[in-house]
Amino acid sequence: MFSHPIPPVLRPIRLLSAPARATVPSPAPAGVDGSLALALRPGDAEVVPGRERALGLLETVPSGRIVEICGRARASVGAHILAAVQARGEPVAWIAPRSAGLFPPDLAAAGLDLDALLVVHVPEGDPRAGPKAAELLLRTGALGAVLLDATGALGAPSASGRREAGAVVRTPSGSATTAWQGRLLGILREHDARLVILSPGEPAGESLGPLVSVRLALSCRRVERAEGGHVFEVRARVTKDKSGALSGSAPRLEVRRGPLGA
Amino acid sequence: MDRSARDGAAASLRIACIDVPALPLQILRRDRPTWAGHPLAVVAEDRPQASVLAVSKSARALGVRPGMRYAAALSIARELRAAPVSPRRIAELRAELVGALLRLSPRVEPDREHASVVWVDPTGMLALFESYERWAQSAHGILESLDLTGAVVVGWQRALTLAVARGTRGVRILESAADERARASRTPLGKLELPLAAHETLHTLGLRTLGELLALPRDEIAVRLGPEVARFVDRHAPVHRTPFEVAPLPDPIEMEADIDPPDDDRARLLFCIKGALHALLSALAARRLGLGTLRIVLALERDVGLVPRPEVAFELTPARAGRDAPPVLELVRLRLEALTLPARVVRIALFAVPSTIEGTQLVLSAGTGARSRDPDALTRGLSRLRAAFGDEAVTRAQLMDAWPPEASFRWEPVRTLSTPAARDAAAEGSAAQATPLVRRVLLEPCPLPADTSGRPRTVPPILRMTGPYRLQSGWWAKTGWGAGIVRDYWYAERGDGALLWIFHDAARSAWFLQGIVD
Repeated sequence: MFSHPIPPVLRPIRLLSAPARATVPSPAPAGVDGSLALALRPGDAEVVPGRERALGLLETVPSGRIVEICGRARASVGAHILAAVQARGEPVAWIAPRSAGLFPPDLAAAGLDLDALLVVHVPEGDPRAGPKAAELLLRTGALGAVLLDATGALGAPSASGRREAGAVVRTPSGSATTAWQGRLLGILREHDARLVILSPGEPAGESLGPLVSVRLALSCRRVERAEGGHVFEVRARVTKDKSGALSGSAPRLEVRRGPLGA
Repeated sequence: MDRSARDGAAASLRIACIDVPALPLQILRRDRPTWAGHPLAVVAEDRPQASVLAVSKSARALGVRPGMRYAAALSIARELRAAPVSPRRIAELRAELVGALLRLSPRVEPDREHASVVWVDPTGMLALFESYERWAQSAHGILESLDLTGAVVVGWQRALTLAVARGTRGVRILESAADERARASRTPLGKLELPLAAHETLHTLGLRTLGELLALPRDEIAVRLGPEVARFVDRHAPVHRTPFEVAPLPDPIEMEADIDPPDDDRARLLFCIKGALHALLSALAARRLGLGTLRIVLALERDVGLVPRPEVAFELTPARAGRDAPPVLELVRLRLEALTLPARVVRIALFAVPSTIEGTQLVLSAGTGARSRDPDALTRGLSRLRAAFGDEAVTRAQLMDAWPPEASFRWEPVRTLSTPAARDAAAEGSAAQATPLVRRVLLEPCPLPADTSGRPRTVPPILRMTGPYRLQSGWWAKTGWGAGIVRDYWYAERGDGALLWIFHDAARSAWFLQGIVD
């Protein structure tokens, strides 16, 4: 009789509940920083309050608008936005090529209901595919939010300086930009839905087009805690707000923990 | 009395059993001719942790058994070839077999419990075939023409005829009811579909054949072996007869149109398809059926050397079976836009797969304080997405029970989507603030160069590394997928602030990029 194999061994060399700092034991490669910060247990994180009025997440991403998000931690914030819409009982969709590298275990950990998350894999290198898929979905009026992941493979320049395989989901440029954004804007207003675009642009750069209503520039940095361990501080700065509703508000601040081991 | 006269005397009681044993395995052998000579197995899914469902004789001889994990089977039999066989593929082959057997009798009934069994009423066919022997040989020839092996048994009582078929290869004509019962009694219990627990109990009791089981007192069977086995025994009683239920096979509905002169303009092609589609839908309406699936085949102009080009074919499945043309034309338009036509089209063929039309259901809106969303509208939208980008593009994530990150999930094509349950986000406030950052994962880990000290080298350079966290496969997986994996995972903070997810592969003594924290 053949018995089921025992699940593979996962042996963290560091204990997550160990006190503040510990050194990396050998056989870590030479030259690696020996001091480590530890991942927090869920519930340990705290929110740094804004100095002025702090907006709710969905207020920052209003319905009936095209919202562009650029900078670090885009996928994390995008997942959080979709989870907030799902919490209202509305299905959501994520449009990206397969090379975007979506990692469903982390999306589930971020609070997304995977059974209610539609993922549309658009062809690589076709700038019209993403907006076309977004239009087909939004026209149904059946989704609360659609996220168009235009960041390309890994959402960042290549780790080794080379460009990895997988094309960026480019969006149409020039006059075509206004055309597809205009169509989508009308549909968003008609169906009271949200379109979030994860943009490959840099925070200091230009927005994707004139009809982008809100542009959020994200930054993410590690913050060491006095009592040990660390969190990741994700700051969202509004760099464009056509309606003016968000002006005068403090940059939204979120505190997140890294994935296991980070 | 000669054989044909004897056959004629009992004609009204006859039934023929066509049994194709291990049907999924035979389908696999047919669909993968290059795997000839290799041990074969049918698995539930094409992944290492999937269960083995059926094995060939050569695979069984090597120690592979149903119920094993695929990875374990591979470690035992390195030459094993395995793949899943979908229920749809099985249904396609059954339909093909039934269609072929209709040439031998107008009364053909696919068995509802056993996918490998088809019942045929040979009554009235003696005038064509002169004897049941010849008729059965023709039926067996049909199996061979479909590259299937199996048995054709002509008998009287279904369960007994099936039992004989399970212990037979080729053709057998049962001479009498007594002959049928005698042969059925010799069938080993292992060839019959009894509950596994019952098999074990019967084996313990020393019962090996159907006859030995049928000889037990009926009351004892119910008490000692359970109601399911009791019903199994009852079905083998000579008086137990199931009326023949012929499966209605709607005639295929096809339409062809020549395009003269040849054309590749999408709008004009759509116009041609529209006309043919209306005719198809009218034919469906006459039968009170809806359009389940529409298959379109485009024949292309030959090239300059008069070499025929491969046809372009695709299938479209509307969100709901019906007879409305506009939604179907919308799907056709989306697919035509996405198609690349290497040459002009000379002929269009449409094939309609009928389906029954279901009633619509009331949709109750859900969600607190949110706009109600129509699930039916979403289903229609998904069918348009599939038409535009292909069935494999519209997916939902499914988490898998596998530890390598690149194998811990898969994308499952979907036609509908669940509505999420509304929840009080405010109450989850503190938990939401502790949600983790998410990672992006490379479909195939990317090698990283190392510097002279053995550290991974990136541009900009790595400032800090956190880890390692080891993932290691078990000692039992010596060969095959997942064997010998030892990975030390790290998080590497780069000079530009990017947080990379990397690992050092001990087996290959190299660094790889698994993904990035975004």
